[in-house]
Amino acid sequence: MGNSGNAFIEMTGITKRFPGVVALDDVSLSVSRGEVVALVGENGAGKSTLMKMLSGLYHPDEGEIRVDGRPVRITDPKCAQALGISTIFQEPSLAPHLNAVQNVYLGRETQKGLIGRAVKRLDEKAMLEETQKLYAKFFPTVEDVLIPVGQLGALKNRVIEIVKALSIKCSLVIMDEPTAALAEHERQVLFDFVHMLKSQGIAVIYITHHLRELFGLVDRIVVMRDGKNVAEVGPGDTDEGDLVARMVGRTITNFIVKEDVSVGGEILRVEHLTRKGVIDDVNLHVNRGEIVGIAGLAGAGRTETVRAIVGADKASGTVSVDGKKCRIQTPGDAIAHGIGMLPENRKLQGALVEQDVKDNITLANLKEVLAGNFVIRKNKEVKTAKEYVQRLGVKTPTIYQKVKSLSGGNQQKVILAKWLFTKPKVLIFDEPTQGIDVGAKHEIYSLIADFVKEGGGILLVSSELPELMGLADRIYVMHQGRIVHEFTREQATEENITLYASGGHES
Amino acid sequence: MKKQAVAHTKKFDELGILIVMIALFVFLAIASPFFLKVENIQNLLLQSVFVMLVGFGMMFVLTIGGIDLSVGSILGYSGAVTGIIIAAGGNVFLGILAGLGTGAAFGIINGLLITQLRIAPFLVTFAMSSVVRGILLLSTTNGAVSGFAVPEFTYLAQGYIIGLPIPVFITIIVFVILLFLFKFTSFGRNVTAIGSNREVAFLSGVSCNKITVGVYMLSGLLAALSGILLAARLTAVQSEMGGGYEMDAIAAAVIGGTSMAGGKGSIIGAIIGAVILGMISNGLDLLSVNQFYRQIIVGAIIIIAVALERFTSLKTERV
Repeated sequence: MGNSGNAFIEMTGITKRFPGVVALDDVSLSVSRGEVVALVGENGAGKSTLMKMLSGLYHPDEGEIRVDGRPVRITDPKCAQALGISTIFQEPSLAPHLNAVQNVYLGRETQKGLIGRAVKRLDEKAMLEETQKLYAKFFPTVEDVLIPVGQLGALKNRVIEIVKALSIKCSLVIMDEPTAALAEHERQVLFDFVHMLKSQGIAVIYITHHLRELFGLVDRIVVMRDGKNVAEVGPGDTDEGDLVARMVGRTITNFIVKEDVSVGGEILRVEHLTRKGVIDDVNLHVNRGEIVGIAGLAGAGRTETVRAIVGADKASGTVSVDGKKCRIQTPGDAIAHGIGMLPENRKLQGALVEQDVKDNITLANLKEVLAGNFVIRKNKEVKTAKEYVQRLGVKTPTIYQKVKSLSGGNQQKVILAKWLFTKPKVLIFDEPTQGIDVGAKHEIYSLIADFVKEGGGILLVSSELPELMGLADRIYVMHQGRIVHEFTREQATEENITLYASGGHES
Repeated sequence: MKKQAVAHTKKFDELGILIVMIALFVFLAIASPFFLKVENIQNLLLQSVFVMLVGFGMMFVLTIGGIDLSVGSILGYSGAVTGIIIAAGGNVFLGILAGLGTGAAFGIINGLLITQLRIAPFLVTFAMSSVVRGILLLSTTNGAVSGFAVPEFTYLAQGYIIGLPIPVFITIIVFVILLFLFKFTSFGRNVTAIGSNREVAFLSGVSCNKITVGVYMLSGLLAALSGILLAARLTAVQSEMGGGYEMDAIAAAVIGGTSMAGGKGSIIGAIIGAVILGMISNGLDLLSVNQFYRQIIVGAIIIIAVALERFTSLKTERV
């Protein structure tokens, strides 16, 4: 479409079928050098499938890919690299024990002759210098390049991935949810990098669920739905609501609905929660019918706080439920006292992705379906699983489906079902909608609302301020392991939350 | 559409390897006139059950995401403990109980070292294998443990119940118990959950440490049971008894579809795996082929079984 004359990548009529589904149906996409194109759509719209063709992981059944006007067949990732196409995947793909230099050169280390030409050794110096040169474009200081990347933060890891992409002399960088693990101010830094790539004549394809990011960042927005192109617009001709409507094919009004729920007595109280070097004297409480948010930057200790509350990590301090002090040493104890936690990483911490929906739903409260204290009552278990699948609207063919084959939103619903089945008084959500498409987000929000309407309390950790401000009755702000401020719903604005989260305070 | 999906997930996972077993069976039946003789089949089953019992335990250990390299040594030493007690005039029942207790105790130590000191199962059980073998060597410095062949004890290996050698009969009972334990109890479910993803299981309130210790105890117990039956059959315990059983047990489990990565196991598969191993030895005997070929064939079958499993699971994955 459009400027086909000087496009770097031009994909036309791409069709891809998997057994039983047409993943892509006659899709076209073109990107020119120095252009930033956003690719948006719900999960399952076909964005990733399309991108995997550019990185050589899938091959189109029909259609053509041209690079600089020349038809190509991208057979494998090496071939994509040779064509100058580089992908930064959503999941970090660096080796955590290696440093930046080693990661950047992983698999294509520079070598020089040790004995003649036959025996070679690594040319550490050349690799270091080259990495530093690339690195210097982003950071004035370069001391980090020799530290194992696992010890660096999410932002620096992203930057190393970008440096790695650049070191391959690429002409197109594909970024899949690059801001996923980043805090608000870090995102800004990443956007600067994108502008820099653009100014160097590099084409960028930018995939994200955070539609707000696109404005001021991209030149063109391509919207996909159900494996088809549905729209191509300039950022000036659209807004968030319009994009969402195009993505889901209907208009979503009142994106976050805050229902009026009367707040009752206290359910959860946490006092003097401390874990050395991580969280320091955290005090908070949650009332019946209340949604309480925790805001803060990455590394502020939010996840660590909620993990300590449920006994996933050892910490000192007290946790009381309904006014009574509880001894919580493991997540099992927390469940027994009516506290459940949905962790931040669905695949690694939330669900048994290799097991089926039924086993996941009953996992945290298996004793409820036991006869005696050992034997599983199959009938009761199946009935329970079916009941929760229906109640939460999990889209799955049967309860025997492996969780990994479900979409992100449905995986999250299965996890939520697991926790609701423990009949909790308080539910703690850590980044509940990360990487979930808009439609499913909406459903998760209304499930949260249902829970508080029935008298439950919610503690919500989220990096997305609109989500936090839209849902929460009160918001605690954390900075460097401490709660530094508490806002009521009325007081909270994006500006003042960000101010406290980054260590400042109102004068 | 919906019906189909159910059929898919309820399909018989062990089908592929069952076909391999039947093919091997048919081949041997044709190749050797002695293969189908009742005595030979009895003998084949009898040869298979010692590895099978250890393989059951290994199946649990692999499913929880661990490995147990100490079972061979535990098998040998537990058999020796039972033998020594009976030889010293102790009660047969007491001797057996002591042997089983020895296996369970070493299993518990394995489990505690793994969960409390957080040392990798490979290292803990590798070291334990060496320690236990060393203890067995010390107790056999004056020659093999023997003199325990009282009729009450050897009957365990030589007697028959409803036409089945007693070790086979015992194995069938153990199989039924373990199948129930694995498929229909919270213990079995939690073993699979932990092996599938320990962090998820932990955050969901599963007592990961307790169950892990339980699994290694079970593995030690089954190795001991196998060792006691083997001692009754051989009527002497050499210092090397049980050597290499850990590898055969792993082979039986893996051939039967148990994943080395955890989260997926099959008891029926372990039976099929052990019978296949038994048939290979038996077949080579009958065809008077050098037993050294066994190693090569076993290796090839492991690769085929795992490849088969990978191939079928890839096909069903993208629905």
